[in-house]
Amino acid sequence: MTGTPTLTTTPAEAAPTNPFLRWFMPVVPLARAAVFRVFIYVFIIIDVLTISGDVIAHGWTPEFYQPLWLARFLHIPAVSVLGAQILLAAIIVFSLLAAAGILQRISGWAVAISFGAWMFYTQGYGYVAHDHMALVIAAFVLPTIGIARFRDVSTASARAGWALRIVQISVVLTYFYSVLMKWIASGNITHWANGAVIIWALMRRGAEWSKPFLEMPGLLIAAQWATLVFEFLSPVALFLKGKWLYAVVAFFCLFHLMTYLALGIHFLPTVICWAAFLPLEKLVPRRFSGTPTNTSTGAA
Amino acid sequence: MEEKKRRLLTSQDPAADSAATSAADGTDQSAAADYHSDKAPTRVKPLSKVSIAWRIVVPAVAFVILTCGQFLNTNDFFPLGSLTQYATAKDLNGTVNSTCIEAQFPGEDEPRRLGFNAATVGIERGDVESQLDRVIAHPELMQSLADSYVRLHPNEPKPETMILCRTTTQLQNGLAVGEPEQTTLATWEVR
Repeated sequence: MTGTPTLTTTPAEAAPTNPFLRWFMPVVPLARAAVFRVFIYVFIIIDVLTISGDVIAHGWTPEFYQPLWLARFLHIPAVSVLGAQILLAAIIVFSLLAAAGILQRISGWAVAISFGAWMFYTQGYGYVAHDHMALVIAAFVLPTIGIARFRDVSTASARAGWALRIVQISVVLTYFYSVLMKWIASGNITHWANGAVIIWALMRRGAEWSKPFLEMPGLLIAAQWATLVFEFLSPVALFLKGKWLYAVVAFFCLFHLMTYLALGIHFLPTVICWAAFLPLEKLVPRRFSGTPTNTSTGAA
Repeated sequence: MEEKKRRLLTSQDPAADSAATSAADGTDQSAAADYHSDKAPTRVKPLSKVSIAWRIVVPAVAFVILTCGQFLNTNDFFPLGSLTQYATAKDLNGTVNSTCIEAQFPGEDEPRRLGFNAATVGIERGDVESQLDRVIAHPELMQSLADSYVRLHPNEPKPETMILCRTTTQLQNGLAVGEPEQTTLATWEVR
């Protein structure tokens, strides 16, 4: 029997043993989850104050509320201005606690629920942006890890590995399924790639510096084909390691930087989730991390 | 030190490294031996069968919902809805439409174009465009846009009329032809 090494060799408690489960629930340092948690919870604060900060204004336009399925199922009413302000305060307080690792499970679930409600109120007024998919999923899987500290560099966890893998898959599906959606919505994927989507986007919301590109439709069509190709190939990121993985992460971040500069579309909620692919435990200063000599195994 | 250097170079997780070692060895005994050796100073928290089971079932259900969301072309299952942003093909010889909002203020000859965003009228352009037919059929919905404008701009005069408009630019081989045309979609006398 092959298997992931564990503190116990009891089969019922052994970590995943088959190749798929070892990939789906890899054991990673808990410190990686602790650092990723800081990224996500700090970003959620930034998100509710800026990117999805329209919820308080939605309190003034309740007539436009178009509740999504889950909001209808849970009978969540349109938000009021006061309700939005209370929800905002709750998200910020819970996120600060969760980022600091205080009452980790409780604060994590509190963020997941309050941020989920906030998402219903930012996305439930007609237009639904898909750049928040991975971030919302990250908010819900992070509390399942349990206690994770920066000093847990030498403590590996399949729970953390699963949570990070779910975020990775969510990130990749954001791109891969958008290709599927282009195919479905356009009937023929070449119609999308040879069409005027970027022209349309530039005319509607393009930055002034990017307007000259409207005189070069051929270049914009080439950019559409390139977008299709790398969105289609995005699942490769799930199987890369080392510098190739870093290169893919950097490539997608640069792509989003370009779309931000040209169109004002930053996709930051997805961009931040690319951090789930990185060995973030390396960011933990040595003095905060548990060295092998400090571990309970006394291995070194 | 050599081990650490090798890990840094290969960017492998320490735990994954030991897992790979154990897999190669093929026995739990060797895995345990590796685990307690100097080369694998990691502690692995075990997962129970129940923990493994729900961690497979829940994502599988979510994946099915997300996939259905694409084929049903619905955003209703957010965050597992369709990924429709910029998914619709646009004709190189078609038109580019953009919805706009204007307000007629007292004492001004012409309606003034307002920013179509939450900071100006309480809602984003995309939200209104997503329910455009409803707003055209019920122009009284624009009253809340006027109310939001007044609340957000307490030192500005109250608009008399809200005008929902659309600019249309004709394309020819992907290039804009002529000036954009503006049409009025709906008007509302502000109460």
